[in-house]
Formats: sequence, C-alpha cells, structure tokens
Amino acid sequence: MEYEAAVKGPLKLKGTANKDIQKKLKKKNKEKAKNDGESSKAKEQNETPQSYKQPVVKTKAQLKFEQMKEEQQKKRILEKASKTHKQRVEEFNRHLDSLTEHFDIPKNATAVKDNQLTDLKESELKEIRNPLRFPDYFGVSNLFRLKDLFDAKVHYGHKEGTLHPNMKPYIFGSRLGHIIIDLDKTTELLQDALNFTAHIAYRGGIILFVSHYPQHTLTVEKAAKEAGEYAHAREWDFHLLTNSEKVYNGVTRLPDLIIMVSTLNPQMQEHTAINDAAKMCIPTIGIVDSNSNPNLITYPVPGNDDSPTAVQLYCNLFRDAILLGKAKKSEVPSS
Amino acid sequence: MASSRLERIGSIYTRVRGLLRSGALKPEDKPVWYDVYEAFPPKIEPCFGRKAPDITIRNIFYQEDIIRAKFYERFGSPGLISLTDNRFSTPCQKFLEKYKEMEKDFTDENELFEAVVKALAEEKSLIASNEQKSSGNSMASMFTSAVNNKASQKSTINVADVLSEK
Repeated sequence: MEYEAAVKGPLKLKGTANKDIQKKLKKKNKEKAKNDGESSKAKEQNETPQSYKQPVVKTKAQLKFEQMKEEQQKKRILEKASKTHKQRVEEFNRHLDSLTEHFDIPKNATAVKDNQLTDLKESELKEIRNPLRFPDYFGVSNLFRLKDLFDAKVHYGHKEGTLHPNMKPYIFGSRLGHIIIDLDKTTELLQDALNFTAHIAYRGGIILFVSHYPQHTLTVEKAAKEAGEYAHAREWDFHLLTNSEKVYNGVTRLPDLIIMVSTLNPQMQEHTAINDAAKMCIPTIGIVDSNSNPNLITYPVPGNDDSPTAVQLYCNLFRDAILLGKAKKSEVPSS
Repeated sequence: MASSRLERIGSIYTRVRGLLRSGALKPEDKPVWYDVYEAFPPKIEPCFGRKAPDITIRNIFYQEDIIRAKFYERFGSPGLISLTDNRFSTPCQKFLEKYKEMEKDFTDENELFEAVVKALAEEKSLIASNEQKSSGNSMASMFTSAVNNKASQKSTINVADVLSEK
C-alpha cells in the first residue's frame, strides 16, 4: 500500500531515545557521589583528633596582643555606657552642622525622623548621602537666573503660523504675530535638564551634543570640548546610532545622553537623532522652539534655538552642569 | 544588549522597565540614566502620540500700544535700531515717558498727545529735529562710537612694549 514506507509506532522526540541510559548513568553518579562523601567524612574524622593532640603554645607577643585586646574592649564598653542615647544623637547633629550644605540631609527623610542616627550602618549612611535623594545635589539652579534667559533672547519664538500644537503649554502669548515663550516654564524645565545632565556626568555617562546648524558648529563643539564630552555638529548620517556596529566596524558604546541644541535640521524637518535616540533608548534633552515637536524628547526645554546668544547660553550652561557633576565625582569616589 | 526599537510605544523608561521586569535585560546591564530618570522623571512623559492640549494662544497687548501706534503713525520709524544696546532709549520710549509725566494734567487724549509733541519739540529732542542721526541708538551712531572706541584702544598699545616683554 501507499503507507508501507512510513514508520509505524508512536512518534519519538529527539533526544528521548536514550533517556533510560541517562537515568541509569545519573543513578550511578549519585551512588558514586555518596560513596565519595562518606569516604571524605571518614577522612576528616581521622584528621581532626590529630590536630587536637598538638599542645597549643602561644608566643609572648600573642599573649600580650590578647591582653591589650581585652583591655581595649573593656574601655570601649565603658565609653559606650558613659553616654546616653540622647547624647550620642546630639553629638551626631553637631557633626552634621559642621558639614557644608552639600551634605544636607533632606528634612523629611524618614530614617532621620526617628533619631536612630547612632545606630546607622555604613550602607544606610550611604543611602542618606545618595545624590538622587537631593533635589539639587550639584547646585545647578545657581547656574542661571531668569534674567539671563531674557537677555539672551530665549523668549523669542517663530511666527504664529508655524506654531506646533504640542508647544502650546509652553507659550506665553503672541505679540503681533510673533510667539513669545513663557520663561517661567523654561526656567523650571531647564533646571530639570541641567540636573539630569549633572547626574549623568556624575555617573560617568557619555554625553553627546548634537546640532545641525552650520553657524552654531563652532560654539557647540567648543562647549563639548571644554566639558570633556563629545559633539556631533555636522550632517547627521541616518544610521549613526541604529546601525553603529556596521558603521564603526565593531561593538560601539552609544552615548548615555544626547543634548540637542536645536531639534530641527536646516530643512525644517525633525532631526533624525531624536527618533534614533528614542529607538535606542537614549534619553534626550532638546531645546524646542515654537515650531518643533517636543513629544519624543525626554527633557524638552522651550526656547529660541536660532539666536547665537541663546545657543551660547545653552552651551555654557550644559558645559557647567557637566563640569559640576564631574567635580563631585572626583571629590567622592563613587562605588 | 536586548532592546526594543519601537519608539512609538510608551516611553524609553517604560520600555526599559519592561525589559528589566521580564529579565531580558539583566540588572547589571541597566542603563546609566535609569535610576536618575526614576528619581527625577520629566514633567510630562515623553510619548510619541501625545495629544496637543486645547489651549488658545492669547495676544499680548499693553495699554501704551495705542500711544505707540499714534506715535509711529505720525512720525514713522526712526530707522535701524539695535536691540542689544540699552544705553539710549528710542524716540518712542522718550515720547512715552513724557506722556506718562504729563498724563495727570490733561483729560482729553488728543490734547495730551499734542501737548507732549509740543513739549518735546521745545526741548529740541529727537523728534522733528535734524540731530536725530547724530545721537541716540541708531546704527550709524553705534558704528561711530565703536570706531572711536577702537581708535582709543589702539593708541594705548605700543608695539615696542609688547616686543620688549618677550
């Protein structure tokens, strides 16, 4: 018949044919292991009494050392007993007062509330000193004031017709057809962005400045150089991030943060780097003018991205934030 | 490294968080920014499909705008003005200052306007005078002042001193 050539019987999965053999092997191995264990235990039993037989003789130096140890322990116990818990807390508070404000412990921290400071272990202290617990660990809010933004013409947007609908929350109003950006909101968002930058620099991340305006190339590259980071202020090749292994012939470490001084390219289209950074899960900080789309940018900063004064200000601020982060890093070696 | 390239779904944080939770991304391969983002999340989550809020853009107007409009209608533009130079006020600004000073004495707007024009003309200020070009913050005056500054700076540097220092 037609089915004569077919294999009869139940289907067999690959690797199940010699299952029984494996089981046997396992059993054998177990038995072997048991035997080995027993033998080793027996050996230990034989060995231990031998070591006890040797008389314990301490040298003079050892005896003296032990004596000193006991004395010191007694001293320590007495010292501990002399101070009450309350006194120790007060002492610790005095020590904290003498430190600079950078070591300030947040007042609402639960660990501090219970006056358990004396019992803190090193790991807990580290947790209290963790930069992420401070709202502004690097002091980036002191880098600029709202007046500086105004003087650098950050509030000038484009014409009303080019306004991107997603930019509406950041707009103050329209002055005779020209969009004016709300500098109160810019200040807040710029501080967040600077804080984020400083933290990334503190953690040793790679920061990349990106711009595509020929007139800002020098400014941006100079700022990156001064901060000891990287800049890409030329034409953006579309596969620089997404296909980096082919472009650079090897495994490449991508930047940990991209700072976009302008989010549009000279053709007034969205810069490719924004999409690509989102694809590669790289956070972006971007200066968004009234005609840019802030949706995909992690930390958008509404502001004028065309005036040289404004671009210079952004570059200086981000450079200073990076340097602040790096300075703290060299101060306290992070674990 | 495991990652998702679908930039339109969620945000970079939610995507990485998903990878970490599922175990596709090991905790030791966690990106540098992850903890920082968690501690200081952006005010609005950066999602691709975020819808634009329904806000109407208001117009910015000031009460003086009416006077400004009248001024420019009568006297026209004074020419090029440098916005970076705050040393001199423009003719319009001077007019407005005078207008505010004299505001209390008049009730009729038109009368007040004419009175201000008269007062300024009497003071031989910039309006309707030929000296307009020589002073103030016009581009020509800025250029001449810059040239003068440069000339004065030049005279202080002596080539011989520079060479002798080296």
